[in-house]
Amino acid sequence: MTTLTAARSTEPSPVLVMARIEAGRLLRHPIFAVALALDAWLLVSSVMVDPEPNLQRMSETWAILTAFCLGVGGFLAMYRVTRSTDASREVVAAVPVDEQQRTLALCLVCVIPLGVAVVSGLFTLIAWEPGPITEPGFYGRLPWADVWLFNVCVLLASLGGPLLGVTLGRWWSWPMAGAVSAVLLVAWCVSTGFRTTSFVTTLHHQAAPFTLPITGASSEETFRQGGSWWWRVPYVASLCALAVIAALLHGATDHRRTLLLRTGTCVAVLAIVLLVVSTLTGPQGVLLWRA
Amino acid sequence: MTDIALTGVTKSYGSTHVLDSVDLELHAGVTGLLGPNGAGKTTLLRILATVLAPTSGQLCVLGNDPTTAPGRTACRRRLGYLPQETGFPRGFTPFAFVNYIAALKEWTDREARHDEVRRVLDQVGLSELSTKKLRRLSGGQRHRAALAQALIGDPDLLVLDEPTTGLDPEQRASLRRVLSAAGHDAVVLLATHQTEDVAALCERVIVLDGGRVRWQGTVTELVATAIGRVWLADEAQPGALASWRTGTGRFHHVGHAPPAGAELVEPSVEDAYLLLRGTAADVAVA
Repeated sequence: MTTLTAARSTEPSPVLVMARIEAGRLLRHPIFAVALALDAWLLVSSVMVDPEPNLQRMSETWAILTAFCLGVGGFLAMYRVTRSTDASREVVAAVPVDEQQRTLALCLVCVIPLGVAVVSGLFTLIAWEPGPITEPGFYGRLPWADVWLFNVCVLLASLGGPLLGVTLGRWWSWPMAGAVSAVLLVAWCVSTGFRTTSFVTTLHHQAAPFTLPITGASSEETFRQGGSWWWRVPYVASLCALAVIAALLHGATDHRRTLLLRTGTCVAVLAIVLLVVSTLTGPQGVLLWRA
Repeated sequence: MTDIALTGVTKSYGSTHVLDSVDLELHAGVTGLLGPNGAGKTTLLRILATVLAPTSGQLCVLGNDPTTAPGRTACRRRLGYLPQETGFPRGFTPFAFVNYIAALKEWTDREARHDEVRRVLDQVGLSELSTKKLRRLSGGQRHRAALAQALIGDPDLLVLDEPTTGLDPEQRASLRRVLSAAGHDAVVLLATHQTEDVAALCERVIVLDGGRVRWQGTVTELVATAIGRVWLADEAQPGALASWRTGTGRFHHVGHAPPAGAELVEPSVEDAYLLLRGTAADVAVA
Protein backbone atom coordinates (compact mmCIF):
# COMPACT_ATOMS: atom_id res chain seq x y z
CA MET A 1 0.00 0.00 0.00
CA THR A 2 2.81 2.37 0.81
CA THR A 3 4.79 1.45 -2.30
CA LEU A 4 1.75 2.13 -4.44
CA THR A 5 1.35 5.62 -3.06
CA ALA A 6 5.05 6.36 -3.38
CA ALA A 7 5.20 5.26 -6.97
CA ARG A 8 2.27 7.41 -7.95
CA SER A 9 3.45 10.77 -6.70
CA THR A 10 5.76 12.29 -9.32
CA GLU A 11 5.21 10.22 -12.42
CA PRO A 12 3.68 11.00 -15.82
CA SER A 13 -0.02 10.82 -16.50
CA PRO A 14 -1.46 7.27 -16.50
CA VAL A 15 -3.08 8.08 -19.85
CA LEU A 16 0.32 8.71 -21.44
CA VAL A 17 1.76 5.59 -19.84
CA MET A 18 -1.16 3.53 -21.14
CA ALA A 19 -0.83 5.17 -24.56
CA ARG A 20 2.81 4.09 -24.68
CA ILE A 21 1.91 0.51 -23.79
CA GLU A 22 -0.99 0.43 -26.26
CA ALA A 23 1.27 1.92 -28.96
CA GLY A 24 3.63 -1.01 -28.49
CA ARG A 25 0.70 -3.38 -28.80
CA LEU A 26 -0.48 -1.72 -32.01
CA LEU A 27 2.98 -1.87 -33.56
CA ARG A 28 3.26 -5.55 -32.67
CA HIS A 29 -0.25 -6.36 -33.84
CA PRO A 30 -0.10 -8.72 -36.84
CA ILE A 31 -2.77 -6.85 -38.82
CA PHE A 32 -1.00 -3.51 -38.44
CA ALA A 33 2.39 -5.07 -39.13
CA VAL A 34 1.02 -6.58 -42.34
CA ALA A 35 -0.64 -3.28 -43.28
CA LEU A 36 2.64 -1.41 -42.76
CA ALA A 37 4.64 -3.96 -44.72
CA LEU A 38 2.10 -4.02 -47.54
CA ASP A 39 2.02 -0.24 -47.71
CA ALA A 40 5.81 0.02 -47.87
CA TRP A 41 6.23 -2.82 -50.33
CA LEU A 42 3.54 -1.66 -52.74
CA LEU A 43 4.70 1.95 -52.55
CA VAL A 44 8.32 1.08 -53.31
CA SER A 45 7.54 -1.60 -55.87
CA SER A 46 5.13 0.66 -57.77
CA VAL A 47 7.86 3.23 -58.37
CA MET A 48 10.44 0.57 -59.09
CA VAL A 49 8.43 -0.71 -62.03
CA ASP A 50 7.59 2.81 -63.18
CA PRO A 51 10.24 3.95 -65.64
CA GLU A 52 9.26 7.61 -65.29
CA PRO A 53 7.73 8.26 -61.92
CA ASN A 54 5.69 11.40 -61.89
CA LEU A 55 3.84 13.25 -59.20
CA GLN A 56 0.45 12.28 -60.53
CA ARG A 57 0.89 8.53 -60.60
CA MET A 58 2.94 8.58 -57.43
CA SER A 59 0.34 10.58 -55.53
CA GLU A 60 -2.50 8.35 -56.68
CA THR A 61 -0.56 5.32 -55.55
CA TRP A 62 0.34 6.91 -52.22
CA ALA A 63 -3.20 8.15 -51.56
CA ILE A 64 -4.96 4.88 -52.25
CA LEU A 65 -2.36 2.69 -50.55
CA THR A 66 -2.24 4.93 -47.49
CA ALA A 67 -6.01 5.11 -47.14
CA PHE A 68 -6.37 1.37 -47.58
CA CYS A 69 -3.38 0.03 -45.65
CA LEU A 70 -3.23 2.56 -42.83
CA GLY A 71 -6.89 3.56 -42.75
CA VAL A 72 -8.50 0.13 -43.06
CA GLY A 73 -5.55 -1.80 -41.60
CA GLY A 74 -5.38 0.67 -38.70
CA PHE A 75 -9.13 0.35 -38.24
CA LEU A 76 -8.97 -3.43 -37.92
CA ALA A 77 -5.88 -3.41 -35.73
CA MET A 78 -7.24 -0.78 -33.32
CA TYR A 79 -10.57 -2.59 -33.19
CA ARG A 80 -8.76 -5.75 -32.13
CA VAL A 81 -6.48 -3.93 -29.66
CA THR A 82 -9.51 -2.23 -28.10
CA ARG A 83 -11.42 -5.48 -27.80
CA SER A 84 -8.45 -7.49 -26.55
CA THR A 85 -9.02 -6.68 -22.89
CA ASP A 86 -12.64 -7.86 -23.00
CA ALA A 87 -11.53 -11.22 -21.63
CA SER A 88 -10.11 -9.47 -18.56
CA ARG A 89 -13.11 -7.15 -18.22
CA GLU A 90 -13.68 -7.86 -14.53
CA VAL A 91 -10.07 -7.17 -13.58
CA VAL A 92 -9.86 -4.07 -15.72
CA ALA A 93 -13.11 -2.75 -14.26
CA ALA A 94 -11.60 -2.67 -10.77
CA VAL A 95 -8.58 -0.46 -11.47
CA PRO A 96 -8.25 3.28 -10.83
CA VAL A 97 -7.57 4.15 -14.48
CA ASP A 98 -11.14 4.23 -15.71
CA GLU A 99 -12.58 3.34 -19.10
CA GLN A 100 -12.50 6.91 -20.43
CA GLN A 101 -8.80 7.22 -19.64
CA ARG A 102 -8.11 3.90 -21.33
CA THR A 103 -10.14 4.98 -24.36
CA LEU A 104 -8.29 8.27 -24.50
CA ALA A 105 -4.99 6.39 -24.46
CA LEU A 106 -6.19 4.23 -27.36
CA CYS A 107 -7.26 7.33 -29.30
CA LEU A 108 -3.82 8.85 -28.76
CA VAL A 109 -2.26 5.73 -30.24
CA CYS A 110 -4.14 6.46 -33.49
CA VAL A 111 -1.63 9.22 -34.26
CA ILE A 112 0.82 6.43 -35.13
CA PRO A 113 -0.88 5.51 -38.44
CA LEU A 114 -1.21 9.24 -39.11
CA GLY A 115 2.49 9.71 -38.46
CA VAL A 116 3.33 6.81 -40.75
CA ALA A 117 1.14 8.36 -43.46
CA VAL A 118 2.94 11.69 -43.11
CA VAL A 119 6.34 10.04 -43.25
CA SER A 120 5.42 7.91 -46.26
CA GLY A 121 4.06 11.02 -48.00
CA LEU A 122 7.26 12.95 -47.38
CA PHE A 123 9.31 9.94 -48.43
CA THR A 124 7.29 9.74 -51.62
CA LEU A 125 7.90 13.38 -52.38
CA ILE A 126 11.57 13.51 -51.46
CA ALA A 127 13.05 10.09 -52.18
CA TRP A 128 11.45 9.52 -55.54
CA GLU A 129 12.20 12.94 -56.99
CA PRO A 130 9.26 12.74 -59.31
CA GLY A 131 9.42 14.44 -62.63
CA PRO A 132 6.94 16.98 -63.93
CA ILE A 133 3.37 16.02 -64.65
CA THR A 134 3.13 14.78 -68.20
CA GLU A 135 -0.37 13.32 -68.17
CA PRO A 136 -3.43 15.47 -68.59
CA GLY A 137 -5.73 13.70 -66.11
CA PHE A 138 -6.20 14.01 -62.37
CA TYR A 139 -3.54 16.27 -60.85
CA GLY A 140 -2.71 17.77 -64.19
CA ARG A 141 -6.15 19.31 -64.39
CA LEU A 142 -7.16 19.82 -60.77
CA PRO A 143 -6.39 23.07 -59.00
CA TRP A 144 -3.37 22.60 -56.74
CA ALA A 145 -5.39 23.60 -53.73
CA ASP A 146 -7.73 20.68 -54.36
CA VAL A 147 -4.79 18.33 -54.73
CA TRP A 148 -3.34 19.32 -51.38
CA LEU A 149 -6.72 19.30 -49.68
CA PHE A 150 -7.25 15.81 -51.06
CA ASN A 151 -3.89 14.76 -49.59
CA VAL A 152 -4.91 16.18 -46.21
CA CYS A 153 -8.03 14.01 -46.44
CA VAL A 154 -5.80 11.00 -47.10
CA LEU A 155 -3.91 11.78 -43.89
CA LEU A 156 -7.20 12.18 -42.04
CA ALA A 157 -8.29 8.77 -43.35
CA SER A 158 -5.21 7.21 -41.80
CA LEU A 159 -6.22 8.80 -38.50
CA GLY A 160 -9.99 8.34 -38.78
CA GLY A 161 -9.86 4.63 -39.64
CA PRO A 162 -8.03 3.66 -36.44
CA LEU A 163 -10.21 6.04 -34.39
CA LEU A 164 -13.31 4.37 -35.81
CA GLY A 165 -11.75 1.03 -34.85
CA VAL A 166 -11.54 2.20 -31.22
CA THR A 167 -15.14 3.42 -31.30
CA LEU A 168 -16.53 0.21 -32.73
CA GLY A 169 -14.34 -1.79 -30.38
CA ARG A 170 -16.01 -0.03 -27.48
CA TRP A 171 -19.58 -0.34 -28.77
CA TRP A 172 -19.78 -3.43 -30.96
CA SER A 173 -18.72 -6.71 -29.47
CA TRP A 174 -20.52 -9.22 -31.68
CA PRO A 175 -18.34 -11.73 -33.53
CA MET A 176 -16.83 -10.53 -36.81
CA ALA A 177 -18.01 -6.97 -36.14
CA GLY A 178 -14.58 -5.60 -37.10
CA ALA A 179 -14.30 -7.52 -40.35
CA VAL A 180 -17.89 -6.80 -41.40
CA SER A 181 -17.46 -3.12 -40.58
CA ALA A 182 -14.21 -2.97 -42.57
CA VAL A 183 -15.91 -4.48 -45.61
CA LEU A 184 -18.82 -2.03 -45.31
CA LEU A 185 -16.40 0.86 -44.89
CA VAL A 186 -14.47 -0.07 -48.03
CA ALA A 187 -17.71 -0.70 -49.95
CA TRP A 188 -18.99 2.74 -48.93
CA CYS A 189 -15.80 4.42 -50.13
CA VAL A 190 -15.71 2.45 -53.39
CA SER A 191 -19.36 3.29 -54.06
CA THR A 192 -18.42 6.96 -54.35
CA GLY A 193 -16.59 6.19 -57.60
CA PHE A 194 -19.70 6.85 -59.68
CA ARG A 195 -20.07 10.23 -61.28
CA THR A 196 -21.82 12.85 -59.21
CA THR A 197 -24.75 14.09 -61.23
CA SER A 198 -27.11 15.49 -58.59
CA PHE A 199 -27.26 16.83 -55.05
CA VAL A 200 -27.92 13.34 -53.71
CA THR A 201 -25.00 11.69 -55.52
CA THR A 202 -22.68 14.55 -54.57
CA LEU A 203 -23.86 14.28 -50.96
CA HIS A 204 -23.13 10.55 -51.05
CA HIS A 205 -19.70 11.25 -52.50
CA GLN A 206 -18.82 13.93 -49.97
CA ALA A 207 -20.19 11.99 -46.99
CA ALA A 208 -17.80 9.06 -47.41
CA PRO A 209 -14.82 8.99 -45.04
CA PHE A 210 -12.51 8.53 -48.03
CA THR A 211 -13.12 9.30 -51.68
CA LEU A 212 -11.22 10.39 -54.78
CA PRO A 213 -11.74 13.82 -56.34
CA ILE A 214 -11.92 12.41 -59.84
CA THR A 215 -13.43 9.44 -61.59
CA GLY A 216 -13.41 8.22 -65.15
CA ALA A 217 -15.65 5.93 -67.17
CA SER A 218 -12.48 4.74 -68.83
CA SER A 219 -8.85 5.72 -69.07
CA GLU A 220 -9.84 7.97 -71.92
CA GLU A 221 -11.46 10.62 -69.80
CA THR A 222 -11.33 12.25 -66.37
CA PHE A 223 -14.39 13.52 -64.49
CA ARG A 224 -14.04 15.92 -61.58
CA GLN A 225 -16.49 14.93 -58.86
CA GLY A 226 -18.76 17.59 -57.42
CA GLY A 227 -18.35 19.32 -54.07
CA SER A 228 -15.88 21.55 -52.30
CA TRP A 229 -12.70 20.10 -50.88
CA TRP A 230 -12.24 23.19 -48.74
CA TRP A 231 -15.33 22.17 -46.75
CA ARG A 232 -14.68 18.47 -47.02
CA VAL A 233 -11.48 18.66 -44.96
CA PRO A 234 -13.18 20.08 -41.83
CA TYR A 235 -16.06 17.65 -42.39
CA VAL A 236 -13.71 14.64 -42.28
CA ALA A 237 -11.92 16.17 -39.29
CA SER A 238 -15.28 16.48 -37.53
CA LEU A 239 -15.90 12.78 -38.22
CA CYS A 240 -12.61 12.00 -36.45
CA ALA A 241 -13.72 14.13 -33.49
CA LEU A 242 -17.08 12.35 -33.44
CA ALA A 243 -15.34 8.98 -33.35
CA VAL A 244 -13.31 10.07 -30.30
CA ILE A 245 -16.40 11.41 -28.52
CA ALA A 246 -18.44 8.29 -29.30
CA ALA A 247 -15.64 6.07 -28.01
CA LEU A 248 -15.32 8.11 -24.81
CA LEU A 249 -19.07 7.99 -24.28
CA HIS A 250 -18.97 4.25 -23.66
CA GLY A 251 -19.12 3.68 -19.93
CA ALA A 252 -19.27 7.40 -19.14
CA THR A 253 -21.55 8.37 -16.29
CA ASP A 254 -22.93 11.43 -14.56
CA HIS A 255 -21.73 14.85 -15.67
CA ARG A 256 -19.02 13.39 -17.89
CA ARG A 257 -21.66 11.61 -19.95
CA THR A 258 -23.74 14.77 -20.15
CA LEU A 259 -20.72 16.78 -21.27
CA LEU A 260 -19.79 14.22 -23.93
CA LEU A 261 -23.38 14.01 -25.19
CA ARG A 262 -23.61 17.78 -25.51
CA THR A 263 -20.23 18.06 -27.21
CA GLY A 264 -21.05 15.14 -29.48
CA THR A 265 -24.35 16.70 -30.49
CA CYS A 266 -22.61 19.99 -31.34
CA VAL A 267 -19.93 18.22 -33.39
CA ALA A 268 -22.55 16.07 -35.16
CA VAL A 269 -24.55 19.16 -36.11
CA LEU A 270 -21.34 20.84 -37.28
CA ALA A 271 -20.46 17.76 -39.36
CA ILE A 272 -23.86 17.78 -41.04
CA VAL A 273 -23.59 21.49 -41.81
CA LEU A 274 -20.07 21.03 -43.20
CA LEU A 275 -21.25 18.09 -45.31
CA VAL A 276 -24.15 20.02 -46.78
CA VAL A 277 -21.98 23.07 -47.44
CA SER A 278 -19.27 20.94 -49.04
CA THR A 279 -21.93 19.38 -51.25
CA LEU A 280 -23.54 22.62 -52.33
CA THR A 281 -20.40 24.67 -52.84
CA GLY A 282 -17.42 24.15 -55.09
CA PRO A 283 -17.62 23.13 -58.73
CA GLN A 284 -20.20 20.49 -59.48
CA GLY A 285 -19.27 17.44 -61.54
CA VAL A 286 -17.38 18.43 -64.68
CA LEU A 287 -15.59 16.55 -67.39
CA LEU A 288 -11.98 17.64 -67.03
CA TRP A 289 -10.45 15.89 -69.94
CA ARG A 290 -11.24 13.50 -72.79
CA ALA A 291 -8.81 11.88 -75.17
CA MET B 1 -11.41 0.34 13.40
CA THR B 2 -13.85 -0.95 10.77
CA ASP B 3 -12.30 -1.14 7.33
CA ILE B 4 -15.37 -2.26 5.43
CA ALA B 5 -18.96 -1.66 6.44
CA LEU B 6 -22.10 -2.68 4.60
CA THR B 7 -25.46 -1.58 5.90
CA GLY B 8 -28.64 -2.92 4.35
CA VAL B 9 -26.91 -3.59 1.03
CA THR B 10 -29.32 -5.03 -1.52
CA LYS B 11 -28.72 -6.01 -5.10
CA SER B 12 -31.76 -6.78 -7.19
CA TYR B 13 -32.36 -7.77 -10.78
CA GLY B 14 -36.01 -7.06 -11.35
CA SER B 15 -37.88 -8.73 -8.52
CA THR B 16 -35.01 -11.09 -7.70
CA HIS B 17 -32.92 -10.09 -4.70
CA VAL B 18 -29.44 -11.51 -5.21
CA LEU B 19 -28.37 -9.77 -2.03
CA ASP B 20 -30.99 -8.91 0.51
CA SER B 21 -30.22 -6.32 3.21
CA VAL B 22 -26.72 -7.47 3.96
CA ASP B 23 -25.10 -5.97 7.05
CA LEU B 24 -21.41 -6.70 7.45
CA GLU B 25 -18.28 -5.36 9.03
CA LEU B 26 -14.85 -6.49 7.96
CA HIS B 27 -11.49 -5.81 9.54
CA ALA B 28 -7.88 -6.59 8.73
CA GLY B 29 -7.33 -10.31 8.51
CA VAL B 30 -8.52 -13.12 6.32
CA THR B 31 -12.26 -13.67 6.15
CA GLY B 32 -13.82 -16.60 4.35
CA LEU B 33 -17.11 -16.33 2.52
CA LEU B 34 -18.98 -19.61 2.32
CA GLY B 35 -22.29 -20.43 0.76
CA PRO B 36 -23.95 -22.62 -1.82
CA ASN B 37 -23.99 -21.75 -5.51
CA GLY B 38 -26.30 -18.80 -6.10
CA ALA B 39 -26.01 -17.58 -2.52
CA GLY B 40 -24.79 -14.15 -3.67
CA LYS B 41 -21.08 -14.55 -2.87
CA THR B 42 -19.81 -13.36 -6.23
CA THR B 43 -22.27 -10.47 -6.26
CA LEU B 44 -21.08 -9.37 -2.83
CA LEU B 45 -17.45 -9.56 -3.94
CA ARG B 46 -18.17 -7.63 -7.13
CA ILE B 47 -19.85 -4.89 -5.11
CA LEU B 48 -16.85 -4.68 -2.77
CA ALA B 49 -14.54 -4.63 -5.80
CA THR B 50 -16.50 -1.61 -7.13
CA VAL B 51 -17.37 -3.50 -10.29
CA LEU B 52 -21.06 -3.58 -9.43
CA ALA B 53 -23.16 -0.93 -7.71
CA PRO B 54 -25.66 -2.00 -5.07
CA THR B 55 -29.34 -1.33 -5.71
CA SER B 56 -29.71 0.13 -2.23
CA GLY B 57 -27.93 0.30 1.09
CA GLN B 58 -24.81 1.97 2.36
CA LEU B 59 -21.28 0.94 1.68
CA CYS B 60 -18.05 2.19 3.18
CA VAL B 61 -14.85 0.70 1.82
CA LEU B 62 -11.61 1.84 3.46
CA GLY B 63 -13.25 5.10 4.41
CA ASN B 64 -14.64 5.78 0.94
CA ASP B 65 -18.07 5.60 -0.61
CA PRO B 66 -17.68 3.56 -3.81
CA THR B 67 -21.06 4.67 -5.12
CA THR B 68 -19.49 8.04 -5.99
CA ALA B 69 -16.89 8.41 -8.75
CA PRO B 70 -14.13 9.90 -6.53
CA GLY B 71 -14.86 7.34 -3.81
CA ARG B 72 -14.72 4.53 -6.35
CA THR B 73 -11.35 5.67 -7.66
CA ALA B 74 -10.01 6.03 -4.12
CA CYS B 75 -11.17 2.47 -3.33
CA ARG B 76 -9.65 1.07 -6.49
CA ARG B 77 -6.26 2.56 -5.63
CA ARG B 78 -6.17 0.34 -2.55
CA LEU B 79 -7.87 -2.72 -3.98
CA GLY B 80 -6.75 -6.05 -5.41
CA TYR B 81 -9.42 -8.12 -7.07
CA LEU B 82 -9.35 -11.66 -8.39
CA PRO B 83 -12.58 -12.51 -10.20
CA GLN B 84 -13.92 -16.03 -10.41
CA GLU B 85 -12.75 -16.39 -14.00
CA THR B 86 -10.08 -14.24 -15.57
CA GLY B 87 -9.43 -14.22 -19.29
CA PHE B 88 -6.27 -12.82 -20.81
CA PRO B 89 -5.61 -10.71 -23.89
CA ARG B 90 -4.30 -12.85 -26.72
CA GLY B 91 -0.53 -13.11 -27.02
CA PHE B 92 0.23 -11.86 -23.52
CA THR B 93 2.86 -13.36 -21.24
CA PRO B 94 2.36 -13.33 -17.45
CA PHE B 95 4.82 -10.43 -17.26
CA ALA B 96 3.04 -8.44 -19.97
CA PHE B 97 -0.36 -9.06 -18.40
CA VAL B 98 0.63 -8.10 -14.87
CA ASN B 99 2.59 -5.14 -16.24
CA TYR B 100 -0.49 -3.99 -18.15
CA ILE B 101 -2.68 -4.19 -15.05
CA ALA B 102 0.02 -2.47 -12.98
CA ALA B 103 -0.02 0.44 -15.45
CA LEU B 104 -3.81 0.55 -15.06
CA LYS B 105 -3.21 0.68 -11.31
CA GLU B 106 -1.24 3.88 -11.86
CA TRP B 107 2.22 2.43 -11.59
CA THR B 108 3.50 4.98 -14.03
CA ASP B 109 7.23 4.71 -13.37
CA ARG B 110 8.46 1.99 -15.69
CA GLU B 111 11.31 0.75 -13.53
CA ALA B 112 9.28 0.68 -10.32
CA ARG B 113 6.44 -1.03 -12.17
CA HIS B 114 8.67 -3.72 -13.58
CA ASP B 115 10.20 -4.34 -10.16
CA GLU B 116 6.73 -4.69 -8.67
CA VAL B 117 5.62 -7.03 -11.45
CA ARG B 118 8.64 -9.23 -10.85
CA ARG B 119 7.93 -9.19 -7.11
CA VAL B 120 4.31 -10.36 -7.41
CA LEU B 121 5.18 -12.95 -10.06
CA ASP B 122 7.81 -14.29 -7.70
CA GLN B 123 5.26 -14.29 -4.89
CA VAL B 124 2.95 -16.60 -6.85
CA GLY B 125 5.84 -18.69 -8.15
CA LEU B 126 5.66 -17.63 -11.78
CA SER B 127 9.04 -15.96 -12.16
CA GLU B 128 10.46 -18.64 -14.39
CA LEU B 129 7.40 -18.67 -16.63
CA SER B 130 6.99 -14.92 -16.85
CA THR B 131 7.99 -14.68 -20.52
CA LYS B 132 6.05 -17.69 -21.73
CA LYS B 133 2.76 -17.09 -23.56
CA LEU B 134 -0.19 -17.41 -21.21
CA ARG B 135 -2.03 -19.66 -23.62
CA ARG B 136 0.79 -22.19 -23.29
CA LEU B 137 0.51 -22.32 -19.49
CA SER B 138 -1.65 -24.71 -17.50
CA GLY B 139 -4.92 -23.61 -15.92
CA GLY B 140 -3.30 -23.41 -12.49
CA GLN B 141 -0.42 -21.31 -13.81
CA ARG B 142 -2.80 -18.93 -15.55
CA HIS B 143 -4.79 -18.69 -12.35
CA ARG B 144 -1.63 -17.68 -10.51
CA ALA B 145 -0.95 -15.00 -13.11
CA ALA B 146 -4.44 -13.66 -12.43
CA LEU B 147 -3.74 -13.75 -8.72
CA ALA B 148 -0.45 -11.91 -9.22
CA GLN B 149 -2.23 -8.88 -10.65
CA ALA B 150 -4.43 -8.74 -7.54
CA LEU B 151 -1.34 -8.56 -5.32
CA ILE B 152 0.20 -5.53 -7.07
CA GLY B 153 1.09 -2.82 -4.59
CA ASP B 154 0.17 -4.83 -1.48
CA PRO B 155 -3.44 -3.62 -1.53
CA ASP B 156 -5.32 -2.76 1.65
CA LEU B 157 -8.29 -4.78 0.45
CA LEU B 158 -7.96 -8.11 -1.33
CA VAL B 159 -11.15 -9.49 -2.80
CA LEU B 160 -10.68 -13.02 -4.09
CA ASP B 161 -13.31 -15.18 -5.71
CA GLU B 162 -12.37 -18.84 -5.37
CA PRO B 163 -8.63 -18.21 -5.36
CA THR B 164 -7.59 -21.84 -4.89
CA THR B 165 -9.64 -23.32 -7.72
CA GLY B 166 -7.46 -25.33 -10.08
CA LEU B 167 -4.38 -25.24 -7.86
CA ASP B 168 -2.53 -28.37 -6.83
CA PRO B 169 -1.83 -28.99 -3.13
CA GLU B 170 1.64 -27.40 -3.25
CA GLN B 171 0.35 -24.32 -5.03
CA ARG B 172 -2.52 -24.14 -2.58
CA ALA B 173 -0.15 -24.25 0.37
CA SER B 174 1.97 -21.56 -1.26
CA LEU B 175 -1.09 -19.39 -1.84
CA ARG B 176 -2.14 -19.79 1.77
CA ARG B 177 1.25 -18.48 2.83
CA VAL B 178 0.84 -15.42 0.58
CA LEU B 179 -2.70 -14.69 1.71
CA SER B 180 -2.01 -15.16 5.40
CA ALA B 181 0.92 -12.74 5.09
CA ALA B 182 -1.33 -10.24 3.30
CA GLY B 183 -3.92 -10.62 6.05
CA HIS B 184 -1.58 -9.14 8.66
CA ASP B 185 -2.26 -5.62 7.43
CA ALA B 186 -4.98 -5.89 4.82
CA VAL B 187 -8.59 -6.95 4.69
CA VAL B 188 -8.66 -10.21 2.75
CA LEU B 189 -12.05 -11.55 1.76
CA LEU B 190 -12.14 -14.80 -0.11
CA ALA B 191 -15.14 -16.67 -1.40
CA THR B 192 -14.59 -20.38 -1.62
CA HIS B 193 -16.21 -23.78 -1.66
CA GLN B 194 -13.07 -25.25 -0.10
CA THR B 195 -13.81 -25.44 3.60
CA GLU B 196 -10.29 -26.68 4.29
CA ASP B 197 -8.99 -23.34 2.99
CA VAL B 198 -11.24 -21.57 5.44
CA ALA B 199 -9.98 -23.77 8.28
CA ALA B 200 -6.36 -23.23 7.28
CA LEU B 201 -6.48 -19.52 6.51
CA CYS B 202 -9.39 -17.58 7.87
CA GLU B 203 -9.94 -15.89 11.16
CA ARG B 204 -13.56 -15.15 10.45
CA VAL B 205 -16.26 -16.79 8.38
CA ILE B 206 -19.38 -15.41 6.77
CA VAL B 207 -22.00 -17.81 5.50
CA LEU B 208 -24.28 -16.41 2.83
CA ASP B 209 -27.44 -18.15 1.78
CA GLY B 210 -30.21 -16.85 -0.42
CA GLY B 211 -28.62 -13.43 -0.53
CA ARG B 212 -28.63 -13.03 3.26
CA VAL B 213 -25.96 -13.43 5.89
CA ARG B 214 -26.86 -16.70 7.57
CA TRP B 215 -23.99 -16.75 10.02
CA GLN B 216 -20.83 -14.84 10.84
CA GLY B 217 -18.17 -15.25 13.44
CA THR B 218 -14.77 -16.78 14.01
CA VAL B 219 -13.78 -20.15 12.60
CA THR B 220 -13.55 -21.51 16.13
CA GLU B 221 -17.10 -20.38 16.85
CA LEU B 222 -18.33 -21.97 13.65
CA VAL B 223 -16.66 -25.27 14.45
CA ALA B 224 -17.99 -25.09 18.00
CA THR B 225 -21.56 -25.15 16.69
CA ALA B 226 -20.91 -28.71 15.49
CA ILE B 227 -19.39 -30.14 18.68
CA GLY B 228 -21.35 -33.19 19.71
CA ARG B 229 -23.09 -33.44 16.36
CA VAL B 230 -20.55 -35.36 14.35
CA TRP B 231 -20.04 -39.04 14.87
CA LEU B 232 -18.72 -42.23 13.34
CA ALA B 233 -20.70 -45.42 12.95
CA ASP B 234 -20.29 -48.76 11.25
CA GLU B 235 -23.50 -48.35 9.31
CA ALA B 236 -25.21 -45.43 7.55
CA GLN B 237 -27.78 -44.02 9.92
CA PRO B 238 -31.00 -42.37 8.84
CA GLY B 239 -31.72 -39.04 10.45
CA ALA B 240 -28.26 -37.60 9.82
CA LEU B 241 -28.16 -34.45 7.72
CA ALA B 242 -25.17 -35.79 5.83
CA SER B 243 -23.24 -39.02 5.92
CA TRP B 244 -20.62 -40.72 3.85
CA ARG B 245 -18.40 -43.76 3.92
CA THR B 246 -14.85 -42.83 4.86
CA GLY B 247 -11.65 -44.48 3.73
CA THR B 248 -11.61 -46.65 6.86
CA GLY B 249 -14.91 -48.18 5.87
CA ARG B 250 -16.84 -46.46 8.65
CA PHE B 251 -19.55 -43.86 8.13
CA HIS B 252 -19.08 -40.19 9.03
CA HIS B 253 -22.33 -38.60 10.15
CA VAL B 254 -23.32 -35.00 10.65
CA GLY B 255 -26.65 -34.33 12.31
CA HIS B 256 -28.44 -32.62 15.11
CA ALA B 257 -29.19 -35.71 17.13
CA PRO B 258 -26.50 -38.37 17.34
CA PRO B 259 -27.81 -41.68 18.71
CA ALA B 260 -27.11 -42.57 22.27
CA GLY B 261 -23.61 -43.91 22.73
CA ALA B 262 -22.47 -42.65 19.33
CA GLU B 263 -18.74 -42.31 18.82
CA LEU B 264 -18.44 -38.52 18.66
CA VAL B 265 -15.54 -37.02 16.73
CA GLU B 266 -14.03 -33.60 16.48
CA PRO B 267 -15.94 -31.58 13.88
CA SER B 268 -14.39 -29.75 10.97
CA VAL B 269 -15.39 -26.48 9.31
CA GLU B 270 -17.12 -28.53 6.65
CA ASP B 271 -19.18 -30.40 9.25
CA ALA B 272 -20.21 -27.14 10.86
CA TYR B 273 -21.08 -25.66 7.48
CA LEU B 274 -23.19 -28.68 6.56
CA LEU B 275 -25.00 -28.45 9.86
CA LEU B 276 -25.61 -24.78 9.32
CA ARG B 277 -26.91 -25.41 5.82
CA GLY B 278 -29.07 -28.22 7.14
CA THR B 279 -30.47 -25.91 9.76
CA ALA B 280 -31.08 -23.30 7.14
CA ALA B 281 -32.93 -25.82 5.01
CA ASP B 282 -35.04 -26.89 8.00
CA VAL B 283 -35.93 -23.30 8.73
CA ALA B 284 -36.76 -22.73 5.12
CA VAL B 285 -39.04 -25.77 5.06
CA ALA B 286 -40.66 -24.77 8.32
